[in-house]
Amino acid sequence: MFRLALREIRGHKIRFALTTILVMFGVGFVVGSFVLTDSLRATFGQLSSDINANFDLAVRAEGDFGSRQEQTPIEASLLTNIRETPGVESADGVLVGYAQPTYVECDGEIAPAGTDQGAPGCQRKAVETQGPPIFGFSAGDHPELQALSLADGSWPGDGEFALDATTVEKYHYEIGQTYTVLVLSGPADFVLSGSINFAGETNDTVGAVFSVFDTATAQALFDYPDQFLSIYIKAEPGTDIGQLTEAVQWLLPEGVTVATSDDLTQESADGFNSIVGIFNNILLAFAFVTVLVASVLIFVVFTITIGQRMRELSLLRALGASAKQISRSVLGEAVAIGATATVLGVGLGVLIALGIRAALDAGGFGLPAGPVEIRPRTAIAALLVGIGITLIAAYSPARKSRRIPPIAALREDYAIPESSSRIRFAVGVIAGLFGLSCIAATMFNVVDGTAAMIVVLVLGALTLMLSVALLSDALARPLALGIGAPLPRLFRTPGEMARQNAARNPRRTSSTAAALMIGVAMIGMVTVVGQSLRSTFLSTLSSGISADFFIQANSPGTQFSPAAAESLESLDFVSASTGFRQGEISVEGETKTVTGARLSKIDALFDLGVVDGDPNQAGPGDILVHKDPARDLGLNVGDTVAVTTVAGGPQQFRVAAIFENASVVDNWVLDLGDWDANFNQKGDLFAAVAVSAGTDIGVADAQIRDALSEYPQLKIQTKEEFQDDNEAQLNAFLLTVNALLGFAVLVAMVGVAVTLSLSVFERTREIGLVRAVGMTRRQTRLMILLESLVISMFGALLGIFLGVTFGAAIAAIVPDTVINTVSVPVGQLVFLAALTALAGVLFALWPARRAARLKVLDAISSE
Amino acid sequence: MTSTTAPAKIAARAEQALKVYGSGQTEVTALRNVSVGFRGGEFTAIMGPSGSGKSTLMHCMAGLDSLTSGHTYIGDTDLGSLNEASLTRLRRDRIGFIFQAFNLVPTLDALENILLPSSLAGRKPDQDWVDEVVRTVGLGNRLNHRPNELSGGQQQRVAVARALANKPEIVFADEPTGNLDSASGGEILDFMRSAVDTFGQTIVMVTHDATAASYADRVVFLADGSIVHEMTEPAADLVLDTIKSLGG
Repeated sequence: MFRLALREIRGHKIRFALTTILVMFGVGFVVGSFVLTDSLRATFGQLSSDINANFDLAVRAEGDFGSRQEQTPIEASLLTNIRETPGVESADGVLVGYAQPTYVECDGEIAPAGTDQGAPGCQRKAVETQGPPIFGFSAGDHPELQALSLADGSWPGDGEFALDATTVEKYHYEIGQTYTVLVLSGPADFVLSGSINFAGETNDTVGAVFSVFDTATAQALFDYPDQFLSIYIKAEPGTDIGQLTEAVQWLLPEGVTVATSDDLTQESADGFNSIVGIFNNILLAFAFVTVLVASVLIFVVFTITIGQRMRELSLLRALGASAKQISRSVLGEAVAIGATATVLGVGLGVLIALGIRAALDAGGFGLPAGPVEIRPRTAIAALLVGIGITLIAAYSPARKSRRIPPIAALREDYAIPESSSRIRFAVGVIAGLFGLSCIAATMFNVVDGTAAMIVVLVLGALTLMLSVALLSDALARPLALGIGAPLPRLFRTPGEMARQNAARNPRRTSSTAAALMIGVAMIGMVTVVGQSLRSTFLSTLSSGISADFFIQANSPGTQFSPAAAESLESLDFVSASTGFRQGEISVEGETKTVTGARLSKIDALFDLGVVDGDPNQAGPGDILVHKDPARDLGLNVGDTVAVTTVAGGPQQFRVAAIFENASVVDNWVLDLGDWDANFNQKGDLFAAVAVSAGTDIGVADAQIRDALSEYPQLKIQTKEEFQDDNEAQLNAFLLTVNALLGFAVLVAMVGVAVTLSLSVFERTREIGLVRAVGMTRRQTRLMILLESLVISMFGALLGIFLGVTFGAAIAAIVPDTVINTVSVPVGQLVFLAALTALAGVLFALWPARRAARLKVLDAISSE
Repeated sequence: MTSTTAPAKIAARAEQALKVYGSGQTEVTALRNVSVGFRGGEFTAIMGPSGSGKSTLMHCMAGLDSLTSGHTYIGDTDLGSLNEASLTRLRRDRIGFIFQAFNLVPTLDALENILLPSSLAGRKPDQDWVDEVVRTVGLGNRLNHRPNELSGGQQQRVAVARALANKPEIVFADEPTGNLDSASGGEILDFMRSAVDTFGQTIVMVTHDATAASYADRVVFLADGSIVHEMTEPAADLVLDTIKSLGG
């Protein structure tokens, strides 16, 4: 019977190819996401061990606030004692801080070293990245402990710095020349002493830009007087690491501990992996949508094919084939499709992984060369998706094929009894109610906990989709006729026939549309959530902001010198300004994100929505608290709250005000006067400036730019520019998500094309008849195109209905600080529907052409 | 070759029609230089055994298939000179068709099927004429039924009505009664006969049924791609005798 399946495939190559392509895309996405993340993990795992391979033990403060950079500094004097410990070959203090090198650019070209930035057409530029960090290290006496090696020149001494080799090359830095480096205190000049490789000869910085200084310079620049963040120790060969650990531990004060290099390797790998993991989950989510769409289509295609092959299959039954053999031959075809798709899909997946990797590289993340990892897990997943999904999708059609009686061969008008629509309807209604109640439960906070909420929401969404797919049978006829209602008037007879064709087989129309529905629903959902996010964002920006200028680094997330914001305070038109920073504190044992700003200025820049107290009177020693944690902890204005900071330890702050608008600041806000003593990251992340009434914005803009001319890394924006910039970023993000989801729609469209061409094949005689009695080729083409239009519109409508439901639910569930309004972008949804309809017409071109080319005679002559 | 080029108006004719399928070893000659004409207002039956070329002749004359060489005409129009679009228009506007089975579009009701050619042409049908045709084939109360709600005989009646509704110059019928019981078949043939007698319709019908052929004014016998005999005023038993004598 398998031979029969193979014959069937050979006889219908195009159908085989298209269904294989559908499954291949699903497999490709799954494999692509696994291969990419496994390869990245392997690469980062290797990198992590390379970074930490050259020392044995690390001394550092116990505990952390979520990230190792936010670590309590330790006394530098510990190093002297550690170096004298028997068994220690070498030891060095480690420091990390902010340092961003600059260069001069003339007429858009990097100028030779030594060019005056004041020369005509020239300006100072900072080295920028889009994501990877920009920072500085101390080289210490044993730079090899930190996996640093000299590529050229010498290690930096006093007044010197060294730069990673990639940056040196990319920006044409020259050893021996003086450059301005932006540091915490502002711009400072250093002589470039050499270029440095990190983690081996290839300088694997993963896109990061780093400067290296000698220990004393680093301590001064990063503001760690006589301190280190940690001390790396290399043991003498043959030393027992356990004994050495104990010996070193004896030297350490309370709160400082010894970790092994393996611990640090694990930590940095974990750090990378958590990012990779997010990536993986996003890709898998897209893969899931694509697989879902593909499986629905396989089901449709097989169901149609069984119908078309009924006479042939029943002939086989009449000739003595058992029902089991018949269904096996159908499943055999599914296995062949699944196996081919799996093989191709693995290839496609590797290509996808390499493509994304290349895109990341092009985007500035210089990924170290690494292996392409295809793990057994990936292969199993590929098989499960490829063959498993195909078999599951073909199972019901195969079962149906068993019910074909031998007599069907002899009777023209035999139809396979369909499964009862009443049962489908009932299941659909129950699934619908269940799905809706799941969504309602999350919307009205019946479910506790974010994870549980997401699970219930996804469950609700899936069952609701299933329900709509089942119920759409009943909807297909009336909706198709409704959607197609204007067609007869617009396109006369072909229009009317297209409309009737779309409605004639409701189950087929609804299943084909269901695949499309899934993709469109996802896009609709993202659109609604995005629009809600945007309107929340815009209303916050327009109503809640009284600042007129915003200043931030061009490289996202990079800090800048507080001196920049401070230099603006002396401008006479500035009514209020402050830098903003971010750090982590521990409150009652839980880590919280905290904003640093000049407390007395915030309310003049952003509407905090003060519930109680007066932030304008607040200063050092005070803290502002959002009303939710204040309520949870029973805090009132005037109370003190115990807070532990990374550098300052446990202390008390007085609650100066309670506020309710946390869209700009975090739930906890400390004064900048308290900042430096308590946090490692002492640079500003952004600054806001308000000008006094009646100031000309253009004049103010020019003066602010003038005041900040020494900070080429800063982006100075007016409120409107800031607003546009943020909206553009949000839009770009939404566009990316929708582009990926668009792929699922594309797969669904291929499905529409397959279904339509099968329908054309099925209606060969009918098309031949209408061609014989005078339908022109143009009219025939038009008829098929319009039929596709109706089916696509039907799928789009169902999808948009579901998408809006899901989107509204999500928008309602997300905390008010992120989304406080549910906003449905009617224009965009109409555009989405129109686009889907257009795609439906485009993808129908091929079946339409086939229909128009049918030989009239072949179609009508009796067999 | 009995070429009947009578002086009366010729509705359709073939001249030296040659049709060869395939090539080399699989070459089959379906029509061997057939010349034949069909007079206006005449009911002609084309008979012959399977493979005699009777269907091919009809398909070529109706513009559904093209000749290897020779000419076919509808009125004065040489079909060989027409492109695909013109042929489609010609079929739509000047020819009526009745097939053996699968005559109707399942998604359209009976009336819509009858009016299909004129609606494809974007033309208003002649309402009085349509009413008369519908009345003649006796479909009155079933006009709004879909084909699957009609019996085989009723479906063929709709097909006849469709073929006549457009006032075509000629109707081609391919085994119109082949799938019907004798009673329903008889009714269909009666309608076709009366269309010729009352409306002066020209009909060419391919059949292998002697009884069906006996409704015609003239029978043309084909064998091996050539016209081998011709008979006017055919009676069923005479037709049968002729078939036997021709070795069909």
